[in-house]
Amino acid sequence: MAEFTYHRPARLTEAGDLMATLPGARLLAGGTDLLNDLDAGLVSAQHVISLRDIPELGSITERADSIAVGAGCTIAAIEASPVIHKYFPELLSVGLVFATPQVKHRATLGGNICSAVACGDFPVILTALQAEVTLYSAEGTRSVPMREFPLANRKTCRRDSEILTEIIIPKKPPAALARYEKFRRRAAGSLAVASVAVYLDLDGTRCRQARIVLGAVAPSPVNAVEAAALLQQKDLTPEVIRQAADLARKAARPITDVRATAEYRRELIFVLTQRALRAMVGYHGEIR
Amino acid sequence: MLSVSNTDYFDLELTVNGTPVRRRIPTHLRLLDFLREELGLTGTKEVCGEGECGACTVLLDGLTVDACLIFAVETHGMEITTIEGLSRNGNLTPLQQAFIDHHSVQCGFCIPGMILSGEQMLRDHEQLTREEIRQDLSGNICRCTGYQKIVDAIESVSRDRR
Repeated sequence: MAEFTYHRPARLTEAGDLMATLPGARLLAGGTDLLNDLDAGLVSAQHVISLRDIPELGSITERADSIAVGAGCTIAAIEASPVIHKYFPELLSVGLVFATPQVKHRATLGGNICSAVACGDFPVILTALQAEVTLYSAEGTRSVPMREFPLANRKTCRRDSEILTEIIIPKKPPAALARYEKFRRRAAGSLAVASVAVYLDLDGTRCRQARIVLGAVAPSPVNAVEAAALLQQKDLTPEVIRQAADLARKAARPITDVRATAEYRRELIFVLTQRALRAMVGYHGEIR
Repeated sequence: MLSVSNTDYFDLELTVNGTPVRRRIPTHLRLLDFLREELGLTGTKEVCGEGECGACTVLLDGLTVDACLIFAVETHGMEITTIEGLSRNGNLTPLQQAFIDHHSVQCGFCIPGMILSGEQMLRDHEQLTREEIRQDLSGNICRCTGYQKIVDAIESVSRDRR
């Protein structure tokens, strides 16, 4: 690892000015990705801008129709937040399978989104929840829907001069729920082989609205639009769920890598989609 | 602007095991290397160096973290506890004694990290089930013991203070 100039601004505006004047500067949040990436030579940095002391990045606030999570909130802080417990318990279940306690004490939600690795967890569920991210730069602020933010593996639409400041998650209708299913090779500190996030607005077992998002089976989360459309206005019987899972499997575009073959990942999507939907409507029979 | 370094060094001030420390360090120095090389606190171990194994676990403002994944400069003004900072006047903590009593140590390399994770969970929870202990130990890998006696030791301290 090479030396760098270290900046630690105390205000967002100062950070924005630094980003404008130091092209190629690296933002440092929890550091759990950046230190590994620097060590592996995947990235280099002459200037590192620490976000540690910028207070507005660390808050979780309730608004009329949404919850705003500061991009600098650690995963552990999100798990401890009463607002998240009340409105988005599904994010707690993502936290459980995200990483080790040590990493969760450092890794931030904004970092997980901006790292944009193909097997990341939070971008998948946040896409299903129709979250938006806010990007700040010296020139101004803009909002981007979560589904448009990742462009490819480790690539997002964030410009070099921009800082991701908050994640806005719209409150769900009363009968809506979401669920995240992640398949990993072991139960602790393990990356996704494949994952599925499902959002459902239900009227009993009848589906008013659905979204199905797939993780780790493409360079960035896949919105399985056809699979979700099949569920719309239908009673979610095991057979309907099976048909939707089959469409989800067809929407996956996985590769073979160290964790699994492409074929295995496609099968996982078929099973995980059914597992999520069945759990959400209360079927517990065998998946075939 | 609160803080900016020159390219090659940073004047770091923090508290380590209750003692204020001030050192001029290179910006890219990891907390792990700062503790081991600059302060000689070699109880904090390096194994994987990428945040998988937890051998370098320390408490940063009371929270377990992997010292291999933090730049020392980021801990400016903060408080660190390493394995060397737990005993007082030669008296082990109840958890350290429990690791001895339950024969929880084989090669010992993972044990400082195990104990710091254990200390944090005992502090955060009045009572701990074996399942909770296993969950909270999920960031610490041991290749010798099979974990049973480590879980036994933490469970015994949780039980004894009921």
